[in-house]
Amino acid sequence: MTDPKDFEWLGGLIQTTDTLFPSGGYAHSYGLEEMVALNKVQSKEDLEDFLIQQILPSLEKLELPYIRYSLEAVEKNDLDELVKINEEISAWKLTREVREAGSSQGAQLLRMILEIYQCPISEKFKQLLQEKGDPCQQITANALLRNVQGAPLTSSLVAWIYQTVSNFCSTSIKLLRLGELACQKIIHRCLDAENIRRLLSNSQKVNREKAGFFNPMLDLASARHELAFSRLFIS
Amino acid sequence: MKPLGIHGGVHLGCRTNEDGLPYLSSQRFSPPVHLSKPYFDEDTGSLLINLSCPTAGLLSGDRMVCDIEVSESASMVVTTPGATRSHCMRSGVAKVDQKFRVQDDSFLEFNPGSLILQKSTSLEQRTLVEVGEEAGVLFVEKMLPGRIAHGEFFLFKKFSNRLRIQKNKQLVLLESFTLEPENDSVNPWRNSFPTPFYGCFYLVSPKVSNELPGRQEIHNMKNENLIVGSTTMHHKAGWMVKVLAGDPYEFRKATREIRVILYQAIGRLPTSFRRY
Repeated sequence: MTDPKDFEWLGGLIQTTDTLFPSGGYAHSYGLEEMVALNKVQSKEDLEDFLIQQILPSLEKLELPYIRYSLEAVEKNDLDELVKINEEISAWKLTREVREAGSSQGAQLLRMILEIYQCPISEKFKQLLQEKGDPCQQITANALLRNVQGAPLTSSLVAWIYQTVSNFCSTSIKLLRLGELACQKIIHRCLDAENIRRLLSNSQKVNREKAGFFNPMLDLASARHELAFSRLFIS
Repeated sequence: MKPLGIHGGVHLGCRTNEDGLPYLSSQRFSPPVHLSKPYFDEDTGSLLINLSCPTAGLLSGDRMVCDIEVSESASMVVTTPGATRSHCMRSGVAKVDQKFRVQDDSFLEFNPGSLILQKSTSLEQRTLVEVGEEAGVLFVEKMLPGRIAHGEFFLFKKFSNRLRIQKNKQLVLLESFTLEPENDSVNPWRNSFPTPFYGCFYLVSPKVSNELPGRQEIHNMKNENLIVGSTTMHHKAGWMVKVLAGDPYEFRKATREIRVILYQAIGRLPTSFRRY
């Protein structure tokens, strides 16, 4: 039997990926609410298309690489580099609502890490950000969390993919009146083994100078959401 | 066959003379760029420069540098007489490297015509905009996925674009992407409209750090063939206004109107591009 020590990280990963963990994600739609208002996403088929055609590629080319860069910086204890990465993330989150969603969830996650774990590196990082007046982004806080848990890179990335897809699906229960079964089927197809293998493998090849994804429609939806007359979600 | 290419570009410095009027304090240019005679617009106080391209566009192996510095409270508007075409390339790539530095309480508008990504073209563009505490910049990018009037769209090979905007040495915007119609990188753009015209205005100015006057007017421009939205940059350095349009008329009209609204927001008058 495999040594249980090899799985010590798994309990922590499950705990902090679970919806009970107070990450604040439930309050955000990350532009989906306005995509629905613009009639770009209207059905469960549209939602699946949106996730597979737009969200998974953006994870592959932008967010997963940035989680990897953050984890590498944390593992090297290079907090100056982590601060730079954090600053870049705030700058490539092009719309205010998406940027603030990332920073409010990042601050909350950092707070939870410091409450639950003994993590001097997170303490130091928080201090460095406070000195610079920069908000902590969720991606960098996530790297600190996975590092203190000892979670392997691949598992950390799969957890991020799951959280992203599951958050959009949970949002769509309210926005599109989708049933839980429909959502679970969509999540299942997004997390299909072939999808995951491709995302992980391709994201490994993205260097920092080239990391990025072009989604003008989602940027516009998020920007327009700021002035929306009525809304359910913060972003 | 190794692609031939032209290595050239433009270096411009703009300052004010003893009367406080903007002038070109330094200039150097070489193909693929040619420079028009500067025109001083008395009504707006800006120096207008038209950059033209004697080779009719970017070809394989071309390396183009655009380096512009505006200081001493000068005001400069740089545009092109028409669209910039990135032509068909059998092999190789064209590279464009742009640097803009705006200091003191100077102002620069860089607003070239649309970039047309023609069939089989491969282009890499990198842009750095550095803005001082009291300075202002209006940087505009417009992009078409091919010669749409000829029924050509999304047939280019590759376009990499990286834009960094820094205010007071602090990074406030980083937009980076690589578009390859062969893979899923163009899906969101391609699916926005059957023939999608894209534009983005980046306005950095201390005059709009808290709010953007005319913002609701910009959002109200939306119609069946046009989506427009605005948002603040990181550290409240300025505003980004994106535009997606389904036809060239809506696109031109919207970009013209947004330009006027943004100028009003920073208390300036827009300079006519004098394209006759």
